[in-house]
Amino acid sequence: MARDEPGYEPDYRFSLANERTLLAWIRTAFGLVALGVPLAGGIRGITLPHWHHEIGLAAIALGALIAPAAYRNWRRAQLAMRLGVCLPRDPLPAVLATVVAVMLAATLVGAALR
Amino acid sequence: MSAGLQDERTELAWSRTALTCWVVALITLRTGLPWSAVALIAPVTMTVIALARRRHLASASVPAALDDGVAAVMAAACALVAIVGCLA
Repeated sequence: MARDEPGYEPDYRFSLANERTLLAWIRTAFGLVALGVPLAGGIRGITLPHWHHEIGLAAIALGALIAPAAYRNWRRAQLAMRLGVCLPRDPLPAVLATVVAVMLAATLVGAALR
Repeated sequence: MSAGLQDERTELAWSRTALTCWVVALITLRTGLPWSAVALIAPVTMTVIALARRRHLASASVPAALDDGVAAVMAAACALVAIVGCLA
């Protein structure tokens, strides 16, 4: 963060922990894209469930959504640490869990219909 | 919080993230469309950032917090791979 940010520089260990959290979310986003690209495009020789194209696109879209949201959360957490206030609530885990649950349900239903 | 190994853990996290980015970009590249090569911008960018950050973490006794602009570029690289993957 820029050196003219309000508050005081937190203990570097907390900054590094915040940084690792951001990196973990970025990897999660990459994982979703890695899942979504083959699903959306189809995999030769493998029978995919119904709606695999839509499920793949949903995974990619979720990955694209997570990246900027994780950046925002990283910034807000860093600012909260600088100001010495409570860390902000993070809705990303709930969003991720919900969307993945919906995708899984759609996959199961699509597989059953095949 | 433990004082030791924080830097090393963060370095490893950067390595994992850069490697993941390469894997995903190569998966996207396999779609075969010529412009999916645009996705390679992301892992190259991530690798440069990761190497610079790892060097800083290894050399500084008290590492500085991650720069805001660098974090934004990293998020943008991830979004680029996702967009190219979506269009592929």
